[in-house]
Amino acid sequence: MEGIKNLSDEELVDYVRKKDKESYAEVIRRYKDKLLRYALYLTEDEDKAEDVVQESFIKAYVNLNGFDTRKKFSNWIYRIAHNEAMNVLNEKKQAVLNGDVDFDSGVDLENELVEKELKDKARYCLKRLPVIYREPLILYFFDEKSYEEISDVLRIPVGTVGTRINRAKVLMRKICQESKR
Amino acid sequence: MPRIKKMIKNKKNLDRLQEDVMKRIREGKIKMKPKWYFVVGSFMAFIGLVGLSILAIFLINIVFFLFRKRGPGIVRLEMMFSTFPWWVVFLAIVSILVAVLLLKRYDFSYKKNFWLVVLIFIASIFLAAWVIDYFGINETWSRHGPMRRFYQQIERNNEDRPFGQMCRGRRCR
Repeated sequence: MEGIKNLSDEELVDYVRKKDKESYAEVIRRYKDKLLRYALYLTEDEDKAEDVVQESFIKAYVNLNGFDTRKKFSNWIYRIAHNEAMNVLNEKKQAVLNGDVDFDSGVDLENELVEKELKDKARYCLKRLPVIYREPLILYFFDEKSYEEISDVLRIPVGTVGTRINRAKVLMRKICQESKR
Repeated sequence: MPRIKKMIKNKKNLDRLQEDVMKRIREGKIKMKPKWYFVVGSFMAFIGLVGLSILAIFLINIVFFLFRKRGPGIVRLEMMFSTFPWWVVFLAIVSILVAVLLLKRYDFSYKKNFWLVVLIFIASIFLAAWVIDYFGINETWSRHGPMRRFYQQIERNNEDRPFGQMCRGRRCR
């Protein structure tokens, strides 16, 4: 049982599929905190976030044989959590898919928003960000995923990930500035 | 202090969540779908995509075939539109739309520019249909082989019968 802790996610999944279903507990242990944080930022509701995480682990287990171990397990399970969170958001009509905050796309603010500063100030402003911008931002800054990984989770082109993150930064700045006033 | 309490509560909830999922697995309430389920699913999606593409090529080739049979001219064009088998066009559009939906299953649909992929897919279908018509392959099909009757019937319907009337053999309903 100790040995499985040294396995990579993909090796662990293979082990669960072929040898020991009990080892799925290790998969849950590795991802429960990350997925809860991700779901919490999306749903803004602890109970719903927990439901999202639980459903995600159940769906991941049911479809475990459909996972291609040549790909990254992390992206796959985040994708499931994303779908679950979107279902919850759609049900409750909480998602504000079209942001009503104007922004100047030409303004380059990348250097103005340093990562650490963003992490500290972000929580309040993030809640007010439309979900299509909030999601890549969470994955990039909080889960430290690369553009390619975010592209796999959200199933959008890498270029779109970059655009959304840049726009999200601009929007975040506007929202944070407005909240200061 | 409330933040620490919240963290402890979250931790407890997550531990409970883990136990709950594992309990359901042990009791057999949650079962893994077998590998073949996914293999068959992928295979069917692929076959569906190929089948719909072939269907779309075939239907668009029929449109080219009928256009060519009618020849140029405004009067002929008007007459053709009044008798044209629009269901062929409709079915071709539906086939392409479903095929595009199936294309979305594949990773390249978001790794590449999806609209460009769709454009290339549709262009390829039209090109294949045009090649069939240009080299007269459909002409051969209309005279020989299993599709002979279908081609002849659709050609006859398009000649002078209003759209919607079907002909069986030489007699029309």
